[in-house]
Amino acid sequence: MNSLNLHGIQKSFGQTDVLVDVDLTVEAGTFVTLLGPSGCGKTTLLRIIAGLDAPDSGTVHGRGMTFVDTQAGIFIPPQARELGYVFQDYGLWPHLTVAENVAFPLQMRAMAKADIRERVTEVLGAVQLLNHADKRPEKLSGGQKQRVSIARALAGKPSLMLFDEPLSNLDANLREELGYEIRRLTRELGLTCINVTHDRREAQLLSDSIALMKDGRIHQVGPPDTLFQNPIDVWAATFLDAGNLLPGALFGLDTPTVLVGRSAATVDPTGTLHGLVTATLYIDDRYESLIQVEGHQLKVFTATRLNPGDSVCLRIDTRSVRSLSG
Amino acid sequence: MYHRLNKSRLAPALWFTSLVTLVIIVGLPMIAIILFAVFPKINELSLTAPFSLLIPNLTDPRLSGAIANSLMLSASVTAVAALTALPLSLLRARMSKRQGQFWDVCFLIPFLIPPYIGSLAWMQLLQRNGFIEQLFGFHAGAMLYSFTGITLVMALNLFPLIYFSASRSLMVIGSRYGDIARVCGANPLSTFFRIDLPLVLPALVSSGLIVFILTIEEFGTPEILGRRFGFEVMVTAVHDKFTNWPVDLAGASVLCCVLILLAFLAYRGQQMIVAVYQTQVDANGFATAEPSTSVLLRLSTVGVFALVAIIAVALPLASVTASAFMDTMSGGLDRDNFSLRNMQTVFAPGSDAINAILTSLSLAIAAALLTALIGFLVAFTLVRLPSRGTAMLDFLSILPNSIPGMAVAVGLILTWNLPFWPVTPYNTLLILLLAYLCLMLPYPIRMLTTALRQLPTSLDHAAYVAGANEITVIRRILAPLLAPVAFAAGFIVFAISTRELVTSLMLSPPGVETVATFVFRQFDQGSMNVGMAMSLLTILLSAVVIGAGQRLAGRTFR
Amino acid sequence: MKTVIVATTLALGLLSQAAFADTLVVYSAGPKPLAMGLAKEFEAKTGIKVDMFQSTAGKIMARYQAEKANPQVDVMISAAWGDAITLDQAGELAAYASPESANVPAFLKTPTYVAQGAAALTMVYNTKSKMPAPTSWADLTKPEYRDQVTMPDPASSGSALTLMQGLVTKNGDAAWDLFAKLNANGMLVAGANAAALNPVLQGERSVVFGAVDYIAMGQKAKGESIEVIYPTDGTVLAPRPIMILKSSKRQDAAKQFVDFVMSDAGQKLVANVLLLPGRTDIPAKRPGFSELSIIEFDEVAGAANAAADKAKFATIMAK
Repeated sequence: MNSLNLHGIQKSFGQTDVLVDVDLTVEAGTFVTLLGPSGCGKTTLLRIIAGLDAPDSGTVHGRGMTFVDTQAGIFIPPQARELGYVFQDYGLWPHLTVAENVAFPLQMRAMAKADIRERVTEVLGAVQLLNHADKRPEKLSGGQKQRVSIARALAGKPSLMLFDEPLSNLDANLREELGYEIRRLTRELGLTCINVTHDRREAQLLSDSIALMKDGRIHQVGPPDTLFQNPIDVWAATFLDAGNLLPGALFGLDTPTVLVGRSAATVDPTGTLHGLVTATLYIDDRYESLIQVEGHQLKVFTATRLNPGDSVCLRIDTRSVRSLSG
Repeated sequence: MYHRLNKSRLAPALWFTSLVTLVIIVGLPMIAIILFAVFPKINELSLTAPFSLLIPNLTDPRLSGAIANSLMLSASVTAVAALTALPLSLLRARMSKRQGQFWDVCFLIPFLIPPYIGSLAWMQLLQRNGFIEQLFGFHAGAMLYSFTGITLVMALNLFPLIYFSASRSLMVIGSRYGDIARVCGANPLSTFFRIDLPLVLPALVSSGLIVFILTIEEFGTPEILGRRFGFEVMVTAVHDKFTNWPVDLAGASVLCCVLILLAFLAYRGQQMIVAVYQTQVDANGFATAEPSTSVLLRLSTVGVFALVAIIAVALPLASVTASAFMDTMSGGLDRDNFSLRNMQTVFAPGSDAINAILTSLSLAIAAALLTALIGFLVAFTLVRLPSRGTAMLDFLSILPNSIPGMAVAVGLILTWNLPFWPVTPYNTLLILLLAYLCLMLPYPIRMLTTALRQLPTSLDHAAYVAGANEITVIRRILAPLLAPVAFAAGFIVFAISTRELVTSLMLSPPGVETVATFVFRQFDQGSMNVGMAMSLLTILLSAVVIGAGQRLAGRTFR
Repeated sequence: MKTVIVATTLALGLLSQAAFADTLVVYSAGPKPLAMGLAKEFEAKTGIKVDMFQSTAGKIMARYQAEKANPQVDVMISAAWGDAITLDQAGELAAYASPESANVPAFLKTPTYVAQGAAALTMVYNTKSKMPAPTSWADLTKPEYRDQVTMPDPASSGSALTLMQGLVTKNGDAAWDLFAKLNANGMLVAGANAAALNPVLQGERSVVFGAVDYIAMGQKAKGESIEVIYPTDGTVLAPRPIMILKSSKRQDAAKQFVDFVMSDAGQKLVANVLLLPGRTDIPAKRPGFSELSIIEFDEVAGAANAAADKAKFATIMAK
């Protein structure tokens, strides 16, 4: 009932095809991220779901109703779709206070004043901003602004929430914190969510499922772990940075390129591959080194420090070697 | 960016309303003038002798001279105004808020001085036996009655337009980009030429275009100063055809079409320049420049602003004031010649002056409110609902700036005096209001579109998604955010409306006087000094209204 | 927002007056007190309401031309005899010989229009200037008046055109020679009447060549230090025609208005603003017909030559 279905979505601006025959189903209560490089059409798709753009052809069903059906000439304007939308640049109205911003969608539904006050208190409490209710947005930090934006989107109790790179304007610590919070809130409320981002970390942080987009098409769909473990082709593996890409010949395979999982390569004196360390970093309680093997670069995790210039032997767990097409 | 909600029912309705409003207010009189140029007898509802007047008028040797003079004058006035305004704007961006507001108010005053009054004021100051000679023993009549003189007088009247636009733009750009350039090793001079100037250029060019077109359209100053040394421009040529015996309205319409063409070319030129330099300033670039702390800079800033204010504001105002309190013109600046008689004449019981002031004030207020309202609607349509006809709408909105008021007046008569209208505003005060709307609409539309372009679209979209329709978005989101700009535009419209002369003279219904027609009559057949007294009063009254309005606006919008 | 709408509605309401009912529409060139006085007394006398549009001669003609699709005006009073000639030749004037006009001199009336009053063209001299007072037009070519003389432009001022044509008719090439000498003497030709008079009032210049006398006399009465001098070699009159338009649908009321303007009461109003009344039997409050040496000439022929004469004048002044 609360699922979202897109079928045959087609959109072009002038000569450029932005979306080509896109089909997508989002199960009720799941969080799906449209992930892709800039220009892949993901934002346009989100705007079409919201009703801020209209597709040239195709259908959009959501909340048990038909949002768009170009053949039947149906187009429900954004104001009638009752969605939540969280903007990348927050989109907070600078002339209204935090509470007034949050109250706006409720006023649009002609709710009673007392109910509005109660609901605003409730959502601001949920995003821990109750004591900022009477401030203007300009007085808030970036993270706080995005919380207000989320509170505003939640206020109208939408069953469908849209996010446009909600974390990209925030610094690293805050992103993670807010990411978990968004996840918790949307789970608790059983919301169906669609998020758009070009940042795989943000996608991993939030999603039950990721739809990878390329050139106006859905390229691959799956839960984060499946997607990152089994990208369908070289492009997907490269974009996702899913692991090390090596020629199949190194493993006696016919395929030109194989994917080797990050943790499948270990430094081991008995290893069969010889490489040269070119750089080493310390990240998240382990070392991360770039190792040059027969003209190919591998990223390898180690517990001990390697120094640039060291020669090392690598062992690869062949169970995690996957052939890639394209 | 594409944000047309092509299935929304309100969007086309808004589009249609904007277009119809502009066509009624601006389009109809313009079409009437163009038809008149083609069909010289259309004022008698006859289509005979089409095109018969085009060739004789266009090949008139006086015309090419007048076109050349108009273009030369407009180019020099624009250049001088820009060169005056730019340094002031740069200094303004580094001022404290309070100080900046003071000078802003100060530079609004040239707007309040009607150009013809300003020209007469300068004549009284600089001519032989003028106020300066009476006080200091020298005169500058030769300089005043020359191309240089007329350029300076007009530039001093118009530079505030560029100053306001450029200083606002510099404030939005902030000091961040300049700071980055300085960190990259640029000296202040190259920072200015490589960073600040290109960024402020679109604002400079857009406001420069308005100054250019206003100069082409300006009648009072060339009439008063230019006539003295045989300097004829397009508008004085048009005006001669309109009012000198034998009246040749159709011939004048032909010249108006040339003016429309010139305006169109200037408009296209501006669009091309802006297209090259238009950039999106980062949303986080809003950090405005810190007020400068250097004492030397602050002192020289005050010095420069004071100097410009004395020349552009204090001198003409002093001249008008002196005339207003002189008993006779031939008496000169003499203690014995001081008198309140002119003021008494203005305030005398049964004097038309009070009625004229009331008429002008109510017309100006109505014009300010309506142009702000219509400007808002058109700006929203232009910026947020762009479509194929946008360029036409945009051009319609700037067209009136290029046309002499006389032509607008004739166009309005031709349009609204047709026998088949069931109701017509003609011969009521509404026709004056219509004329003012037509002449003033470009200001709010320009200012509001510029401001609206700077508001991120996510503000609208957030509201749509929250359940608002276009009307609610305009009412609840954009209107409050743009209200300060709308108010500023309204003040400009108010100030210019209170002094509008040419259409008022032509269109006033019988028995109605406005401030400007009252002043004109005093100049023509009564006493110039009574006219000056009335002008002074109107300038002060407009200043009070604008001051009060700004206070009110300031209280309502932070 | 609501307040804006309310305020706008209020302002509009204030502005929209009921369009006028069946009243007589008169367009008149200045002076305003005269136009208003005529309208008021006519209303009082006949009960017919008058809508009076008062402006300059050029503006009322422009308005009349622009309104031709739906003519509004019934009676026009111009300051330029040439306007009446043009309209008469175009066949746009209704014939009417008012019984009140019997005492108007023959050269100031035609079957379709009659002079309501007239101004004479004079020299106006600033008494504070240290020049000798001039007595004839030709005096102003003397070296002591170098750069001290102004003249209204015949292209902008109907009365200056009349003066120029009158002098040319009377004196032929000698008149053109006079203008050439005035030009050589630095005479300023600028704009309409006010543009020529103001520099003299302000002391920038000393003498106007061809000022409209009643305006200058009005200024003098207000205390300006000027003197109005009628040149010994004669001057012209600038008569002010009153005429009824053929297109008028209120011919009877229009005739009544002309009768009133030409009546004793109307002519006294004319005299009060220091104009010369059209009727010779009404005493003028200024030098009258008998005291002026008037150059009479065929103004209809003059109108035909006007364009050529103006061009010739402009050429001489451009040297």
